[in-house]
Amino acid sequence: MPKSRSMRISELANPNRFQRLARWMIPLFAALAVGLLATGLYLGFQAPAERDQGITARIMFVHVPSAWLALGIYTMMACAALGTLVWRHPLADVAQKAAAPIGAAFALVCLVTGSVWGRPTWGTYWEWDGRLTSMLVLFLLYLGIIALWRAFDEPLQAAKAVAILTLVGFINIPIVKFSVDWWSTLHQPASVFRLGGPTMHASYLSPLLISALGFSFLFSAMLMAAMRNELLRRRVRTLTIFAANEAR
Amino acid sequence: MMRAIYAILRRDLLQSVRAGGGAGTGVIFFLAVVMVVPFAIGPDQKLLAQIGPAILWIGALLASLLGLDRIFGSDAEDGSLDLLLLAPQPLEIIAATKALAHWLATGLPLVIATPLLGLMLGVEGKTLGAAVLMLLIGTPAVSFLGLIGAALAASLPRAGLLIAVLVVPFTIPVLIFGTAATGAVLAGEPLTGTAFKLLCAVTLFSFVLGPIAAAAALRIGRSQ
Amino acid sequence: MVASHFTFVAVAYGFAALVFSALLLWIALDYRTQKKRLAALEAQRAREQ
Repeated sequence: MPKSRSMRISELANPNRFQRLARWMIPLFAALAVGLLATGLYLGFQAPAERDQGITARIMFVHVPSAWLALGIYTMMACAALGTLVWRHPLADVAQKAAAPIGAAFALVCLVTGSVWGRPTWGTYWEWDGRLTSMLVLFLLYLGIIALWRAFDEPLQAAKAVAILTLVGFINIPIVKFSVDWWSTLHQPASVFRLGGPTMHASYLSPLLISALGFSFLFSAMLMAAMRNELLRRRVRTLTIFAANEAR
Repeated sequence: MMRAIYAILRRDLLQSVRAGGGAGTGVIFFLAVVMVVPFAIGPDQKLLAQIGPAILWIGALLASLLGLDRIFGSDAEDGSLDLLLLAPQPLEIIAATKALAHWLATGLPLVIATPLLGLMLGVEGKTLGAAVLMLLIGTPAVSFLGLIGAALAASLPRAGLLIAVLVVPFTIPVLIFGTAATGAVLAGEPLTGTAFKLLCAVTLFSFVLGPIAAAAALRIGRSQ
Repeated sequence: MVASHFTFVAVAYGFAALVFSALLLWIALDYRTQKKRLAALEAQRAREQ
């Protein structure tokens, strides 16, 4: 699951401090991501071939972490939305905006890798079962959020509208998680995050968790970089407006 | 407060019936969708009768979605939105009234047109009755959920398509349960099965969620 | 099977790599664009001071 942004939040509130922090955190997280992903995927491809699926089960090392991250990133955006609306934290809306395209990318990767995995395993690229449909809805929510960000001129105004949309859409997250328990049609039930503990074999579970951690660091690095870009973009916008006013 | 509700209803309905108001356009769009699909699919009567309920639902959903920007559109333009925000009545009630007006002007005509359009698709008898009932229950949900999207984009001009895009994910449960309930009757199952109950639940939930979220969105949008 | 299992795995990972590369590229290019614009604007402001 993605790293929380709660460490020293009040210190991060100052945007310049953020820039300084980003300068060393981004390369560090990127390096960790590359290391963990390389390790995870290497171990994953060493694991013994699965009984029925042969080597296609290896797709899980990118499909499952993408699913976890698509859900986790949306949850992070919902927390940031609360940060914007309730606590009025200055970086909350920047984090929200930066996270949306990344979350959408993970959701897309989850859907496509899942579809490709499904073809040889279940015989079909797509079916309207509970989990696939709710994950597609999650992807649509991400796209709607991105569209709403772009519809406003003023980013702070957009932030509040997007925050409400994000919170209303949060109802989809438990639906995705529990859809495999409520409707048993196509997608297999939970084998990691369940009450009785994981049912997956260790030779697959370890690479999976390592890859998931690697993807989490990848997300964190991309998030901080995107937040840095957004802060720059806002400064550019402020200066542009300022210059336009001066020219009058 | 009932006087205020009645006043808002009357104003919105009159506005929608006037030229450019869009009350009839939804039904015409519904008709267009229902006509276009058989051309695309071909004259296979059995196939059309089977997917007929689904086509009715899709047409009704799209027709409802495209008119959502009218809920707050004209109010934002002429400044009445600010007045509504200052009104003594709870903003949630005002928002709910506007959603009701939208359904009366857009959703209800669709439900009334459904028997005729259903026959065009070869949907008959009990299935057609089921389709009308489910649409009657489901279209208010689309109006009340759409209220949220309309409120979020209230200050944006010509945001019709954006609002539809925002609202579609939330209306998917309505579509799923509505078509499932109608399809159940087509398959010979009882009318008030699980899907029907879930559809009713979603609609009732939308009556609560819609106005609350919309009021929050309106307040926050104007507090700049 | 229509194609060997290896093809499916390759397509899956290939698509993922494509999406993440595109995302990283966009972030990197956006960074350079904003930095350039900011530098230009701040130079303009300095000139006017």
